[in-house]
Amino acid sequence: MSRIFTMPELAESVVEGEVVQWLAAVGEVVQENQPLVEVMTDKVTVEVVAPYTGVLEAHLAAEGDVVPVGQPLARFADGPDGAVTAVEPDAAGEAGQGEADDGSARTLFTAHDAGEGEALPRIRKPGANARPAARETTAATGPYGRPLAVPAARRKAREAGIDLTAIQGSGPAGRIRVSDVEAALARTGASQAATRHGTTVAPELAGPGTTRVPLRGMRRAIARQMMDSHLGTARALQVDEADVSDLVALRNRLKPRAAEQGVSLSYLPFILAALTRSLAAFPMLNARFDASDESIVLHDRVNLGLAVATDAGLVVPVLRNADQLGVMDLAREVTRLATAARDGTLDPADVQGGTFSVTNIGTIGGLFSLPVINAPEAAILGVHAIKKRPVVMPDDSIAARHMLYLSLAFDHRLADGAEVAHFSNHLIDQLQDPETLLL
Amino acid sequence: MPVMNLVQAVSYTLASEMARDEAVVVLGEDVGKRGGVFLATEGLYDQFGPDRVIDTPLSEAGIIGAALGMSVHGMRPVAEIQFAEYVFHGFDQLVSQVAKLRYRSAGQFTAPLVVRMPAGGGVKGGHHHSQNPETHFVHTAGLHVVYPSTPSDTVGMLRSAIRSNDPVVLFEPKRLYRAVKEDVPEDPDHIVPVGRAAVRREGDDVVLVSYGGSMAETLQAADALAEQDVASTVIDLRSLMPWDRDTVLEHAARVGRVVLVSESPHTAGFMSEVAATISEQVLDHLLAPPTRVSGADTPYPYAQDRAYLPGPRRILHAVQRVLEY
Amino acid sequence: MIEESSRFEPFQDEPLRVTSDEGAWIASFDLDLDEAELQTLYRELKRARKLDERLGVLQRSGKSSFVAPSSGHEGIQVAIAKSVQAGRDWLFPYYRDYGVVSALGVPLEEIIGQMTGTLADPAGARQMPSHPSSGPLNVFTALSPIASHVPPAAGSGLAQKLAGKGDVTICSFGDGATSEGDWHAAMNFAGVQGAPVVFVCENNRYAISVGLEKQSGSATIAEKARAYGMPGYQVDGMDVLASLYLLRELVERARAGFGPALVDASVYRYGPHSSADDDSIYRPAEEVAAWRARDPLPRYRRFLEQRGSWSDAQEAALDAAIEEELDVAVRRAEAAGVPELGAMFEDVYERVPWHLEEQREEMER
Repeated sequence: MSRIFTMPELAESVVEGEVVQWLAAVGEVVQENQPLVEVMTDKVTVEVVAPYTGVLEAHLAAEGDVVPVGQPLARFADGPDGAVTAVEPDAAGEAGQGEADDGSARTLFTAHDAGEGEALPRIRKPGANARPAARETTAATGPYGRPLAVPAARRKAREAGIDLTAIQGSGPAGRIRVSDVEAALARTGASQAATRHGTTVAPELAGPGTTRVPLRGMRRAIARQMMDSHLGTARALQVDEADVSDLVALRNRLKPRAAEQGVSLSYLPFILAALTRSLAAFPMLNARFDASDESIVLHDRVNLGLAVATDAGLVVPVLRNADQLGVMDLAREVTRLATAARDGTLDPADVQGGTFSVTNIGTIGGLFSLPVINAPEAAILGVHAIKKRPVVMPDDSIAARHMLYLSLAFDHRLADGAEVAHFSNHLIDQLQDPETLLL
Repeated sequence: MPVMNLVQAVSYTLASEMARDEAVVVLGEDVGKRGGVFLATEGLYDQFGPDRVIDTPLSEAGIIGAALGMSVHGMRPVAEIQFAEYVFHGFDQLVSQVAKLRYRSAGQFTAPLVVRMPAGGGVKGGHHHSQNPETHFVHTAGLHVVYPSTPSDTVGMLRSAIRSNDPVVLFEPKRLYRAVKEDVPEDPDHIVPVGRAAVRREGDDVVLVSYGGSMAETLQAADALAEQDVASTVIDLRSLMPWDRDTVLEHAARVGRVVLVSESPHTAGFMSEVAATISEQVLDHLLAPPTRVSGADTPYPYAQDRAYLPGPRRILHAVQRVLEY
Repeated sequence: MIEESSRFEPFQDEPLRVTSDEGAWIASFDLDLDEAELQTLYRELKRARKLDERLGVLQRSGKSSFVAPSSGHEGIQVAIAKSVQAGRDWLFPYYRDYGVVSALGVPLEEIIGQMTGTLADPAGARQMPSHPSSGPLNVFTALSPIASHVPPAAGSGLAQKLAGKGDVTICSFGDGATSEGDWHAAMNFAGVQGAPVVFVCENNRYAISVGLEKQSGSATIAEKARAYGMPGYQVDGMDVLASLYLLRELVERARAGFGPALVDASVYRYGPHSSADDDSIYRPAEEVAAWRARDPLPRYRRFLEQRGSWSDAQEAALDAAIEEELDVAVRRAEAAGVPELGAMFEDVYERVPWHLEEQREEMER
C-alpha cells in the first residue's frame, strides 16, 4: 500500500511552503529522518525529513510549487522490509483524538468546509423549519410562581395587558414565546368581539349603534392621569362621619359678616383650615412617594389641590401655602381659583405643585365615594354633602344633627390604616369644635 | 490597491507611519535584522536603520518600560512582544506604569505608545504560544485594546493606534497572519477608529459576535448556517476597549438571538461583558439568552489544540439552542 | 568602551567622602564652590528636613493619610537635585524623594497639595501621598510598585540619546529596588544602549524591615554595575558635598555621551519606613542613635561654621523663614480645595469614553 506524506506545519502561522529542491529521488529507499525535500516558507527554509522508512514512489509537487500545509507532498510505497515503519504524522493523529472540532482542524482557513469531515448539527429553525406539531403545550411556571417566558414575550404581554399565566407556552419546558402571546392576543380579541366584554385589549366595536369619540386634549390628559394613579398607587379608603352642627351654626353666624367683605363663605374654607392643621400633625400624608429611588418626599408646605368640575372636564387648581392662610383668606382663594378654573383663565402656576388634594363631591350628591389619588400625592380627601341625619346622642336620645361624610383615599405605601384613622380623628375633632379654626 | 496578508499589513503600516512621522520607532526582540519572528517588521531595519528599529535585550519589562520612557519625550514607540503570553514579564510596566501615567499625573505626562502582540491558538504552540490574554488589559483602565482580524483592519487600526495619544494594546491573530490576502487601502491616512465594530454580514435569524482569530470560525459557522437557511448577522468587534456597544445592541435587539464567540477562557471573558450589557440594555427584545461559545477555563492544551478553539460545530450547537429557546 | 570619570574612580572599597564627620574638608582636590552655593545647599538640606517634619505633622493631624519619611536622606537628595539642570534634564524619583523635588524647585505648595490630596497637586490628587511629580520640571510621577520607574528611566535616557541634545536622566530608588526584575532589566537596557542615565540607590539598608544582608548577595550595590557594563560608585550619601561632586561629574559624563553609571549612596532613614510602620521592631535603638550622630545637617553646618560661612543668627533666620514658607504652603494647599467627584473620570484617556461618561452619571445620580 502507499502512504501520502503531506506538507507539515513548519512554523507557527505558516500556511504554505515552496518546494525548493528534492533531496531524495523517486524510487529511492528513504530512511526515517533522512532529508527528503527542502522547503522554503515565508519564515524559514527547512530540510523536511522523511517521517518513516520506505520507497519514495512519487514527488507530488515539483520544485517551485507552493504547497499548502496539509496538502500532498510525496507518496511512499511500502519499504523493502514490507512495511512502512512509522505512523503517519498528519491527519491520522488528529482524527484519532476524536476531539477535533469539525473539519476546521484540517482546513481552517479555506473559505468554508462545513460539508467535509464531521457532520455539523442540523438546525431546526422556528417558523421556517416547523416545530413538531405534536409538542404538548402547558402553562409552565417556575419555582417562584412566575410563568416561564422569553423577555420579548413578557414585554409584548405587558404592553397588550395580557396575563401571562393565562397563556400556554409552546417553547421548551412550556416557555412562552412571542408567537404564543400573539396567538393569545388574537384569541382574546375574538372572544371579546363575541361576548362584548373584557377590557384587556380594545376590541373593534365600531359599527351600527355606536359613536366613536376620539380621546383628545383634557379628556386624554385626565384619562392618563387617572390610569397612572390607578396603576401606580396602593389605594386604600377610610370613610368617616363628622357631626358639624356647631360648624353649621358658626358659618351661618359669620356668613353675613363675610359677605360685607365681599366673601362668599362656604363650609369648605373651614374644612381646609382644619385639614392643614391635621396635615401638619401627620406629615406622612403631605408627602409623595418617589419610586425611582424608593423614598418618601415630605413637603414643608401645604399646597391643596382643589378638584373643580368644569364644562371641559376635571381641573385641579392649587391653593398654595394653605397652611399660612386663615379661614377668610382661604375662602377668597377658593372662590378665585374655582372661578378661574371655570373661566379657563388659570395660570400654569395655578395647577402645579399640589401636595394634597380635596374633592368636594357633596354639592351634587352621593353618600360617600372612592376618590382617585392625584398621584404622586399621598392622599385625597373627598368632602360630601352636609345633611341632617338622626344621631344617637350621649344620653341615648336621637337628635337630628348636621352630619358630614369624609372619604379619604390614601396610598398605603406611605401610611398605614391606623395612622390614617388617627389623622381622620384629628380632622373630625377640629370640625366638631370649629371655634378653634378661627384662632 | 496592494494585496497582502495580515502580517504583511503590519510591516506595511509600520513603514508607512515611520515614513510619515519621525517620532515613530519600533522596538522589541528580533525586530531589527531578523524582521521579527513572524516577519511583522520585515524590511524596516534596512529602510530606517538601527536607531528607529531597535533590537532590545530579551526583557519585556525593559521593552515596555523603555517604550514608556521614550514616549514621555514625545516619541511614538511601537513595541513588539514576541508572543502575547510573554507580556506578563512586562505586565507591571503596562498595567502600573503605562496605563496609569496620564491619570496619575493628571495629564502632565502621557504615553502615546503601542504594544503589539501576536495572540491566539490553533498553531500547535501549547499554552505559552496560544493564549488570548486580552481581558487582562480590558480590565486595566487607561489602555485601549484592539484585536483586528483582517489585513485591511490591521492597517487601519494599527495606524489609529500609532496616532492615538493614549496607549493602545494591539493583538494580532497569529493563525490568521498568512491565512487570507486581500486588497488593503493605499491611502496613507486610512484609519479604522478605535471603538467601532464591523458588520460582516446581515441576517435576521441570529447574531454572531466575535473578534480576532475566532472571526475565521465564526464566518465558517455563518456559511454553514446559510446552507441550512439560517441567516446570520456577523459582527466583528475589532475593538474591546472601548467597544462598540451601540452596534451590538442594535442588532441584538433587532434579531433577539445572540451567540458570542471568543477563544479566550470562558469565565469573565470579554463576551461576558457583552452578554451582561445586552441583558441590561435590551432584555425586552430578547428571544433567548445571549449565549457564549468560548475557549475552556484550562491552560491552553497542546494535543487538543484545535478542539480548544470554538469551531463551527460548537457555534452551531449554540445557535441551535438560541433558535429553539 | 566607556571612559571612566576623571576625578573619581569607580568600584572603590570605601564610600567617597569629602568632609569628615566633624565637618572638615578631607578631599584630595580643592573645594571650588562659592559661599552662596554652599549656603544654598544648607538651606535646601534644612528645607527638606523641615518639610519632612511638617509632613509628619500633617499626617498625624489627619490632613494626610500617609507619609514615607525622608529624614537622613537629605544629603544625597539635595545633591541629586543640584546635579542636574532643572527643566532640561529628567528625574525619575521614588516615593521618598521629596527632598529631591523640593531642592529642584517644585513649589512646597504643590508637594503639600500632593501629600494632602488637594488641587494644589499638579497631578490632581490622583495618587496617595508621597508620590510627587512636576510636568514643567520633568519630574516623572513616582509610583508604588518598587523599581517600576527604572525601565522608563532607561527609555527616557534612550530617547535623550537619540535626540542628541545632551540631556540626561537621573533615576533614584531604594536598596530594595535592586532586587526587582525590572531593575535588572533597566540596568541592562541602559548599559546595552549607552543611555545617559545616572542611577542612584539611596541605600538606607532597609527595605521596610528586611536588611541589606537579606536583600543582596553582593557586598555592595555599586559592584552590580559591573554586570551591566557601567561604572559603579559608593558615596557617603550623608555627605552632601561628596554626593554633589560625584553626581555632577557623572551627569556631565553622561551628557558627553559616555553612558550610564550607578551610584550606591549610603544613607539612613531616621523615621520608620512609613507612617504605617513601627521600625522599633526590627532596628535597635542604638543603631538609629549611631546614625543620628552622623546626621548630614549638623555635619554640614559644622563645615560651614568652620569656614565662617554660617552663624546662629543665620540659622535662626533660616528656621523662621522655612516655617513661614511651610505655613503659607499648607494654607495655600488647603485653600486650593479638593477635586470634584466627576474629576475621577478624567485623564483615564485623552477623551472621556462613553462607558466612563455613563459610570460618572450613575455615580452622581
